Amino acid sequence: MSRPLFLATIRWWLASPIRLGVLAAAALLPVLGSVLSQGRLPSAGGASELALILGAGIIGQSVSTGTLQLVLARPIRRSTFVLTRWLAVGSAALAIFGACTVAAWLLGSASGMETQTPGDVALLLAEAALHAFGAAAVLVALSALVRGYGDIAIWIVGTILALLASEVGQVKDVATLRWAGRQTLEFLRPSVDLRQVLGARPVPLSGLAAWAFTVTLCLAVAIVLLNRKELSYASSGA
Amino acid sequence: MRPAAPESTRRPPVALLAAAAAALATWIGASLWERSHPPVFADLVKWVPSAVAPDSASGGKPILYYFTADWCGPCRVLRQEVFSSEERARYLNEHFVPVIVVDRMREDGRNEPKVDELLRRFSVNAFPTLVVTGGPGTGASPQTGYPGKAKTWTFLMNAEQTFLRAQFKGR
Repeated sequence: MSRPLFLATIRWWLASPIRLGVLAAAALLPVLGSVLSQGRLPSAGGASELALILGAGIIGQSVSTGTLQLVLARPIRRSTFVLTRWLAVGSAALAIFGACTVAAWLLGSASGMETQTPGDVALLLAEAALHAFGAAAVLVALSALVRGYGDIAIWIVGTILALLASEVGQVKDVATLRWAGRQTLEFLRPSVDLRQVLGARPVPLSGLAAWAFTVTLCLAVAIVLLNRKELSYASSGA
Repeated sequence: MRPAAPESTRRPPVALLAAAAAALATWIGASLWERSHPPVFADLVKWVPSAVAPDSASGGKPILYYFTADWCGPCRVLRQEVFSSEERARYLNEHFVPVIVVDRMREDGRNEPKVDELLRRFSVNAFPTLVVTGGPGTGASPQTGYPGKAKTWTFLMNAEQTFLRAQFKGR
């Protein structure tokens, strides 16, 4: 990981008021919901949403603005660039989700309506980490593929199509369509229900292995795509 | 002497590809193993034993009776697919009074009187059976067997709506 690249990514987020506004809404609404629903903690899936907001255009936008050409003019490995961006998105999404979750939990405890134990909170945060780093890996791969914010557009369209396929497959009782929809959704939003996994005997490894496969494959694809990219240093890159 | 060539900044992600291959192999292997040796999933619904369960709806929530037996295979699938899902279990815990009724006829040759009474009252002759009711004298919605996660969930949602409508009309 490259520390300067990590810090530069954070500065890039801070320079975008629209992104910060959307991020604040996505982070604070679950806390409000938690207070209104008598201390129920936010769902771990919220970490995916934060990763999607932070990760939109994480590589593609750097290509469009010409930042990537400047960064890669230095002797930085392209894999380091991809992995640092992935770590930045995943860890920032997890940190924001963690802060909001702990705040919601403390608010619930203070008002005497908290029913979750510290163990529940720790398990939720572990699950949120899988959500955040999973979604970040998918977005990094999509972002290496297209310029600008095309990555998030592909993700949204893919999710809608997968939901449609799943629903149509359910209604028409077409198992293949239902399966394809479900697999696409699981690919676009990798996650593991840790409570279910840890509560089962023997511990089922397939879910964790599927998550690990999706993440490693997405990162490898992103690095290969970036390695193959020929960047023009003479133009603005737009 | 020629200077050493600078290290390439475009090294292929060999380690990541190897990790992806290992994860894929584990995924396939684990899926095949779990198909022949299905793991027993934790049931996250806070079931109330039938012996101490209330007879009628309490707190505006209908009673969800879950009739099961230890030997019942489809019951295990139902538990795995519906009752071990955190989101669904949370919903059931919040919107129903979940009561588990375990038939022990095959193992012990008899049941507790309360279990026998519930089996008779709802004419249960197969497992799993789910019954949603407001209590004696009110309607009951039963589902016999396990038709799959989606249909079971639809049944539970419809039964809850029916209960809530009946309560609203009764006011």
